[in-house]
Amino acid sequence: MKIKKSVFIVLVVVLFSLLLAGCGGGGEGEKQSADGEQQTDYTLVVGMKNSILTLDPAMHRDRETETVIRNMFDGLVTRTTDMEIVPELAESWEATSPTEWIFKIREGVTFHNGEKLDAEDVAFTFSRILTEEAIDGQTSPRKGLLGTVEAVEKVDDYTVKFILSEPWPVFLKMLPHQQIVPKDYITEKGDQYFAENPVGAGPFKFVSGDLSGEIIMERFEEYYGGSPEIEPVGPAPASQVVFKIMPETSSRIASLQRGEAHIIQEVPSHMISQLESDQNVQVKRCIGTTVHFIAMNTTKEPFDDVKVRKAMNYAVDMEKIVEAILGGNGQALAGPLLPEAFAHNDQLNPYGYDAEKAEQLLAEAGYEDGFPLIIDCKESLKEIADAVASQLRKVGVDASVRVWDWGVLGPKLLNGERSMVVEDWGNSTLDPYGILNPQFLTGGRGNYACYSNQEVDRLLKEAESIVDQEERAEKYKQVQQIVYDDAAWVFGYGTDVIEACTAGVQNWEPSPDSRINLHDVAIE
Amino acid sequence: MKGALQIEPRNRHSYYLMLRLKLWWNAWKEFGSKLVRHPTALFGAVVIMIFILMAIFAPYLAPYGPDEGTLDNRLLAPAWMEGGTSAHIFGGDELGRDLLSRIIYGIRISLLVGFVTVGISVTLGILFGVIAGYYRGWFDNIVSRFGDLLLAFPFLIFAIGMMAATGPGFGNLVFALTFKGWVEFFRLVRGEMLSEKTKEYVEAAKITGQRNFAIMVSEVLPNIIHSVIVLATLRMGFMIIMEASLSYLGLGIQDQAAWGSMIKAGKDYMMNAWWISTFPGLFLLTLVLAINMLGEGLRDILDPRLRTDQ
Repeated sequence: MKIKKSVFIVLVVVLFSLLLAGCGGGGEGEKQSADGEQQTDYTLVVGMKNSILTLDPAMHRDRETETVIRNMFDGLVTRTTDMEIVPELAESWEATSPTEWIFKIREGVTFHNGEKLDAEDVAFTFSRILTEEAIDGQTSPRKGLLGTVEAVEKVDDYTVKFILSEPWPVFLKMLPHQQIVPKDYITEKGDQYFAENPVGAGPFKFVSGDLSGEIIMERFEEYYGGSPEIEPVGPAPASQVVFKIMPETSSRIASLQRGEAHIIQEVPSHMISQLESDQNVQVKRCIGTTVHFIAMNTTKEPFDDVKVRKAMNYAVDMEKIVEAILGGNGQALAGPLLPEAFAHNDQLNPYGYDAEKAEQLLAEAGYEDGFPLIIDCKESLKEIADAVASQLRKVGVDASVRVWDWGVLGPKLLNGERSMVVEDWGNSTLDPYGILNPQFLTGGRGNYACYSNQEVDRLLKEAESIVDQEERAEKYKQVQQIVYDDAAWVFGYGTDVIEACTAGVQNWEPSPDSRINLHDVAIE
Repeated sequence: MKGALQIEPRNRHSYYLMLRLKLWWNAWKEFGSKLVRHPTALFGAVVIMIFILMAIFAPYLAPYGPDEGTLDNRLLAPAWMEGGTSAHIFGGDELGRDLLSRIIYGIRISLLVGFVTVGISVTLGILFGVIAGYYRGWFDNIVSRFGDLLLAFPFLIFAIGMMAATGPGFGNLVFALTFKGWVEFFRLVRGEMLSEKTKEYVEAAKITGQRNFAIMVSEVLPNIIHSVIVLATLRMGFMIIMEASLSYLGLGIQDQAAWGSMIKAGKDYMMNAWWISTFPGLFLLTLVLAINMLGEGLRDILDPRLRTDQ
């Protein structure tokens, strides 16, 4: 009996220590130093909200997709988290004239498959985007992001020339959105194969992936180091990164708290205080570049009357929405631009909440008894739309909300078939070109208000090619004033980007364009 | 003695009516006493009655309107929790509306969807089933094959497709659910009709010269209606679940307080405002459970044969 008991105790002790070892060994893995070098061996997991569309850098127009692709592909230039443009694959550049830019490309850079990166690849990358139907018979959706760029020519092995049809002041700001792809690999294997087995020159190389599940990449050991302006320079500290699609907010947060994910996107404001009280989690935020707004169909009753549109601006309490639903993590806007944007018109003041004035304006327009209204939105903005509907009901508008699939709703809005939509528009350059043109040019690709004003059209067209920044800013300020007076939108709000990481994550900050670049991120 | 049994011709009609009422009354009495002796069925019936009364008197019972609210009460905790107030017993939802009020109004949608969809399905099912089963022929062939075709689709997937095509709303929802919902009733009624048709009482009715319509309605139908009632009750719970599922997916009823959409709205707040999803979910659970309990009870009472089918 005695012997049995001691055996039992030993067994318990052994089991217990095994259990402890098991706990300690799980999760992030430990640093390993090989040959004295500061090499590390761990996996970084990023929890993303939406599934991505492709792994071909030329075949999408989507931020989440770009976030993933950015970790495998580098561009000529990149953007810091302070929105500054710095060189990446380009060593230097100069504008020899307003319509000609010369880029010097870094030497000695290779793609993941060993192919050398030179001017050929750069020229190929851009001609692939600029040429109609160049990618398996389809035209790149990123063509629009190249504005007036007409052609990119090889000058010598490491120099390329961008030729613009007209001066385009935001050229450099838009360039970080294009990543360089390998010419030989793509011409040999084809576009379809490339999209399934992407090869870039970025810090991580593709291992395997499922666009709606998880995308796994591993460190590219021969990486040239990335932008010299963004420390540290060199191969990435993480040996493997995984982008995992987790649509459910609660599962993203739970896996962050358990340490299964290291960085998560889109932390809802009502979870911030709870996450901040968790010692294992850091919540980080920065200003966002997305504008939320309510577009009213200016061609259809009742919103063809500017009084009704103004009444809506007075009836919706944006301040309250920002405070209550966003938990104060945002700001109500006076016009279509964020205060941080270039050429923001500081003279404009938000309409502000004034129900009496709204009712009075509605009465003047002949809608004393209100009118029936369906507010359209996509799923993610339903809550805001519901809040707007309940505020509009208070001034007598019989408002209800309808949620749509964006693919169905978008064309209907542009055709002027609907009345009111709650929408958002990302403009990662913070230049008015990226939002005023699509939203307020007659027939613009995001003109959900079906807004058309000749003066605005003229000003926007002129501003597109003015190189002098002050003169350009002046035009955009005028546009903001006109749009404000016309009340084409119920001017909305800007939100902060709120992301979170585990306490051990180093050297990572959220970026205003919500891209997550893992090159420099380490785990302590 | 002679006088007692002989009925004056002019009184014959009212006599038969009285006799019929008496039989009905006895049947109901028997049904009632069986129900009382069947605890789960009784429980189900009582719960359903309470829900029906709550739905009818919603404006008097609910402390607030279903869409009334202020963002100040966003994610307000239930009364018994820290930060809660007795003015909002179940707390506030994601827009500061009173959760209890919305749940009470939500009963209306669930019950209405249940009654309307099952009502239409039963009507269509009986109509087609009786005719197809009695006459057979080309009508039976067409309707049966069409029914088989519909049965090939899973119910929820089919309803999602219909709703995606027609858009959300009460009318579309009822249409989507009944479009396929009648098939089960049709198959039940047709099958029963086929077996009843060969029985002696039908033969007898034919010989006495009754017309086909009279045979179908007054001879056969009363004999198969019990099975239909049992199935209808069980299907009602299913239809209510379907409505909640579609609303949860954002395809059902969007502009009114429906339980499915409330559960969905609260999903993202599960970690710090669990009540938004939980209470509508509990009500849904209770209602559907009660309906199923009653349905199974009715099966035991009215149609013990069906028991072996399960």
